[in-house]
Amino acid sequence: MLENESKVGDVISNTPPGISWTAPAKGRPWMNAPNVVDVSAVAQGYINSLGQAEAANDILDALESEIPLAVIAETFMLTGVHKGRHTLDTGILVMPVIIELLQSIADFNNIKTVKFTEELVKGTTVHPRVLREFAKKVSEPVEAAEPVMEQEQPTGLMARKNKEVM
Amino acid sequence: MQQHIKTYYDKIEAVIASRQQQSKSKKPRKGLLSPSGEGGAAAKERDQLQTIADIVQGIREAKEEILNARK
Repeated sequence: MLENESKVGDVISNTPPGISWTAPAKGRPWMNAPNVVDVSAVAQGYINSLGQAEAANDILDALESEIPLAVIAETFMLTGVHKGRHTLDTGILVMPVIIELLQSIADFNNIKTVKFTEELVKGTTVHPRVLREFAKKVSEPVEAAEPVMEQEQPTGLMARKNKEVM
Repeated sequence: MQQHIKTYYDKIEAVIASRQQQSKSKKPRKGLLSPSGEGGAAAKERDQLQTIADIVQGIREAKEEILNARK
């Protein structure tokens, strides 16, 4: 009886709010060490997985939807990170390989695709770094310039002439 | 993120293009530019870049071969 009471009391007093929404330490695949570390091994894994016949229809559906290849490749890469196959850094390094594989599959099946969004290709978007610098400059307080008083030059006959500095 | 990926992809393209242009030039064997003089994180990053460029180039060549064989 006493044990039960103490347990209930411990649960109420020691449970921080929102703990039921959090995962235990290393309870998710991406919280553990990745399965593959080597860049070439990760690339080889994507070559194998994208070359499987079972995935062909899904990949072709995605390619026909006219979504840029980089977006589809990013989805593949983030899925790999989510499943704990590799780290995010290694996934970003391997991204060109995935894009090239998707481009090859599209070419074999005569599907017209674009690698990147139109804004990125035309360069109409501004890089976030440039935007940050611009926002920083704008937020800086502007100091009022001191008014420059122009001195009137004496024009009389007895006026001293300014000596030129050599 | 797409902007960063495009920048990286362009870098890979530049590596492949420069490799095709400089395929006949010899590497320096002595001096600071020699392969033995390189080291550290920069060399490792370059190695990874070269590895990815190798794979991308290989995929392109294989694709060309398959498309030519179809014709």
